[in-house]
Amino acid sequence: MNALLALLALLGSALAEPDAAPAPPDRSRPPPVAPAEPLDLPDPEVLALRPGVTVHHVQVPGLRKSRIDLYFRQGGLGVDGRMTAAYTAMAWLQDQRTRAYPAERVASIEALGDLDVWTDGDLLVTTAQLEAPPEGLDEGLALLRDVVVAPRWSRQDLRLLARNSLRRVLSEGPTLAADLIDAGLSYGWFPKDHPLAPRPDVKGWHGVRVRHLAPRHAAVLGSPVDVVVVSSEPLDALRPRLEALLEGVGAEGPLPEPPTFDRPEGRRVLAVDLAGTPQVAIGVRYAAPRFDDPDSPAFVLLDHAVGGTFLSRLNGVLREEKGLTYGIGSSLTTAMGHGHWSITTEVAADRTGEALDAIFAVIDGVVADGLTADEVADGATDAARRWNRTLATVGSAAGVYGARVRHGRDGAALRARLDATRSVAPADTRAVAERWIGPDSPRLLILVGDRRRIEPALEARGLEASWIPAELLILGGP
Amino acid sequence: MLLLTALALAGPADPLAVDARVATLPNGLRVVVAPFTRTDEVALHLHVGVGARDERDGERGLAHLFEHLMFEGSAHAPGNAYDAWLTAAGGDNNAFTSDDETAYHATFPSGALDLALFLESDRLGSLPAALSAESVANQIDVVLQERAQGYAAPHGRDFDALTRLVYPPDHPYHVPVIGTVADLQATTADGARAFFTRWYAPSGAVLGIVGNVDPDVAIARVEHWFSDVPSRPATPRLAPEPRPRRPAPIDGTVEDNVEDYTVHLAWPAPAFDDPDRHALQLAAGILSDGRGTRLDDLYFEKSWITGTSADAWAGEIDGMLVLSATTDRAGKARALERALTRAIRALADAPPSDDEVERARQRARAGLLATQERPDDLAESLVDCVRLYGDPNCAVGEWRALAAVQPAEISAVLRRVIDQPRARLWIAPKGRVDRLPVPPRPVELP
Repeated sequence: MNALLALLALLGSALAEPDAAPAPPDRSRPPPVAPAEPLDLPDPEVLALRPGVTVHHVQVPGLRKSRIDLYFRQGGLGVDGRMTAAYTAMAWLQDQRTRAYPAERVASIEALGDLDVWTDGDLLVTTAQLEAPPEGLDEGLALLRDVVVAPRWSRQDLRLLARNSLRRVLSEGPTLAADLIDAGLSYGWFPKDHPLAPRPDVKGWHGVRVRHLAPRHAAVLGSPVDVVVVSSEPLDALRPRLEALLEGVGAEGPLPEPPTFDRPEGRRVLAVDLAGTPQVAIGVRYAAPRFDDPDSPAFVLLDHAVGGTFLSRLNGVLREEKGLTYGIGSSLTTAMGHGHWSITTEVAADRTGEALDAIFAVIDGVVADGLTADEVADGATDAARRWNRTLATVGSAAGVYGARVRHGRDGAALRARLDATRSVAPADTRAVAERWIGPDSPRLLILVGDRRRIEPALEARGLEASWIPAELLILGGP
Repeated sequence: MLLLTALALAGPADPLAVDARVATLPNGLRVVVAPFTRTDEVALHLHVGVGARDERDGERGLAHLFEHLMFEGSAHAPGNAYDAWLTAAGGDNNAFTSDDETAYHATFPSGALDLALFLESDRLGSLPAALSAESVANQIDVVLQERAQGYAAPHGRDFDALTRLVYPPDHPYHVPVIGTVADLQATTADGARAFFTRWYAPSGAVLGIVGNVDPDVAIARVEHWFSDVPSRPATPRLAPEPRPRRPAPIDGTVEDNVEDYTVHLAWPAPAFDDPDRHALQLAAGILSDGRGTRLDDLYFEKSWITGTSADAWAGEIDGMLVLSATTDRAGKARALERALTRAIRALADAPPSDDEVERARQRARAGLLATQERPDDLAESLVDCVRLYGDPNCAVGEWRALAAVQPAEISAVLRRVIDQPRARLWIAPKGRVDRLPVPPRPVELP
């Protein structure tokens, strides 16, 4: 029957007027969109190689490269109680040269094999990562192992790293508006000595020596290690190679607790004078809910609607309506132990006051009325879109699954959070805005630019700033 | 009817080959489509064949300003509907402008393909009708702020200053893409409409679609949505022959919000269609692509050198080779330039080793492969292949050309390039330009 219908349809089309023009597109309304539902993402296959060494394998068909990420659960906090120059140098220089290969040879192996091996470290983890195509995987794993277990620290590399780190802080930092805004938002927000806002370790960079690195490396190698593998190859095919990679690496031990921070008190205005600069950089920070706070899903939508896109309220007013800026954006940090929300932009110096008024009017509007139904829907769609992009590249998949492992989140919990975000009601956002960015909420404002232009704008608005020399702020503030 | 030309010139075993289809619509719009099914996403990339090089005196900056105006509404998608509707569907978008082109790109879930094509075709077909004096004036403010912000950033003026030195005033690449303040401020809605009519013809555009779509269906939907975009003759583009050249070396200085002293040495270089381009690309890689390359060695050997780089860029009608180095000591500025000059002269005078060539070659191949990792990068790459070579699989040809380069060719091509008069640009910290080894010659950005 179906064949008969198809034949009739074919005959019908063949008999149709040969010169009949196709119907023009209907532009009276936008065409309907089939909504994108969140995809089912695979759960990693978990293999405990031995106590303290766990492999999380995600098989994704069609990837050109495999990615192997080692997360040693010991970072600057566990090694030194904070981020120090010695720990940072150990983590950053680990991938430069090995006992077997000089730096040039390491770079050459990577170039010829289309491999990337790199290491890094932060407060809670030290990482070593590899991306390799199938034909270079064995060579890549050998290089990764060499980098992880047999790095060779060189005085020359360390001297250059120390020099560049000090230059960045002492010479360049005080002249760069973006760096000063970052420093002000961080050091103005977190108390001195809080691990979440480590001040530059100037003394440490002056004093760091090669002999300081090996003990820190040993501490890292002896910590629990999670290995995230994203590959088109099945785990069985990779297992012997992973065992060889991880032989003698990792051990059982406690996992570090993420530092916590609630929120500072009151409202502050910091300002930095960069005399003669035509632009003023502006940064604003509010406290935001932690990842596991019930307000967090609604705040994600708030961030998206207020400063997350070209279409956001801030861009709509400051860029599209008033032409004050090339762009303004917000960024939301929702960690396990703390959260904050920041807005940053640059404007012409003589329009500083106008920009401040516009930013705070947008905030006041959200607090008064919450988000619109359209804004909530857009944010929910965006959350699903980000979720669905997980497997787009080996890097995106490794990033998402790596974060799951680092933060101990399983797929079901993350899916539940996505669903919670997609079910936020507009009224919820008003209440959340009131709690976090309302008139009584703690707030930090920082401006960087010509004092002669900034001061009148602040005075006209009844704002009193603490003026801080750029050189002092970049080192952590007073 | 639709003219379809299925092109799959390379064998399936070649990792650089893409299973792409190319079609040309009756109005002249070329379309290239390839599947990418790892996610549900689709990437769209629209190239329009107009860039800063096509602007006349009095309209400098209009190509880039138009990139902004394309988001200000069209006849059936008013105001910010392009952004709003695409965002509501789970998409995002952006655009860029260069000397040679203006490009618009978007990604969205596959279920929004019709919406994206509706929006794209609507603005290509009807933008002037919706363009208002108010939106033009507003976007001029935004672009002037973009210019101010870019130029205020450390090293934010280097590239524009360098192109003014390398290319003489009668060269189409001489004026910065961002334009001149005077011309931008004088732009009217009528002027913008005339610019659109002159340049935004479908025959001058190439549309790429890569994602979770059936290529046949995608081409059919493009044909449907773009069928009412009227055909217009393409405006001939500016490509003077011979390409204007400086008769003698030229110097410039910029005082900037920086702490180091930087020297850029630059020369005009082969354009994308010049067979010498691949050898020059490898030369730049041998000089500075990663640890152990020649300029990188300088950085590690000389404690007073704080950075080095080499870059060979190829545009549609010309290219540029730029070598750069920085020092934190004014007293070493002359030695810095000498070190840079010696390094490039050494490569020009004696062929590089096979190892050096092979390493640079494999880096270049990795770069080609990297453009195929994501749907948006692949869409842009396919569009570039179609517009520049008429072949969606041009990456295969690129690799063949790179693989065929011999070490002696690298030196010979480099010699030809650096034997031309060079441009030299010094960047000095504010108030310290007098410490440079050359007299101040400020480069004005109009």
